[in-house]
Amino acid sequence: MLSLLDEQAIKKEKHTMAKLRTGDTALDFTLPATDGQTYNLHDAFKNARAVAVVFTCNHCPYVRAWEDRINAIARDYASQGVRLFGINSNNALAYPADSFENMVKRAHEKHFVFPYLYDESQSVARSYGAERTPELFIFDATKTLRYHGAPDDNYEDEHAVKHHYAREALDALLAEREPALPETKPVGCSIKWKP
Amino acid sequence: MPKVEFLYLDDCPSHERALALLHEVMAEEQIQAPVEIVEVKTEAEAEQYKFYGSPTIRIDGGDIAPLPEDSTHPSLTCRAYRRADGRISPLPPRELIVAALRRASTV
Repeated sequence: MLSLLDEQAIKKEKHTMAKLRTGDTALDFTLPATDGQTYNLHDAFKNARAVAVVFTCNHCPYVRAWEDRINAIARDYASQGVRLFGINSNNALAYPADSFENMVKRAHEKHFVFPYLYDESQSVARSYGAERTPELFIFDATKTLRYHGAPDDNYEDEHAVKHHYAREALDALLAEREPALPETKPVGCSIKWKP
Repeated sequence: MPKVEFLYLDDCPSHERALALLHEVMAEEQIQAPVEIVEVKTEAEAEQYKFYGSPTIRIDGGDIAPLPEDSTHPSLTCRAYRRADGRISPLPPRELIVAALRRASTV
């Protein structure tokens, strides 16, 4: 029988260990989106050259600083066969701004061009080992994780960005090259887990 | 000498830069008051300090910025600041720190 401390340690580890590493295969999911449809990750690979999964939310200021840039990535790379999914896994009971209803509003207000998915059970975030919002996982056409981390190197000022990590990774994959930086540190709010 | 408080949540990465910015602005404004730094760790402490997000800067008890638009109750969260150009940032805008310190120094 586990002691309370053991259980807490396991719970903490569940919340902090990144389970998916570069080189790993994408873990499938099927989730509802704000546009009323349901999306399956593996279906998205059928005609995609790369797929980006972005753990995100409504309330986090880091997301809000980056979300136009993330939307621009989805828009700019769509014609090149790149699919992008945003996933909100936050506990909406503790953070009502992250409720599905508010996700629908945000997607509409910000004109998201990507499916904005709701991971109400938090199982997708847990299986991926996501910890932050925003946090990106970019897969190549063979469903292999090729980039994990932040969108770029400056949440504060998009005009001062020196390294566009996500765009550079996508450019590399589309040119059938290895991304120069397969891993960066995700910067943002912690995912708000259910108790 | 104004009372300067800096409240933060360790989980929100902008707090180090925000504290450095506060010290920088205080030096520019030639304000030598000590900064009382409070790490908020629990929901109970968030309630106790009326903490609506990290980082929070108070001068003489007053917040340098309006409370976040979507904040309904104190909580352990990162704080969104609206910059002069309308963009959202996890960092408090420099001009709000300057304005709050100048208001305090003229009282």
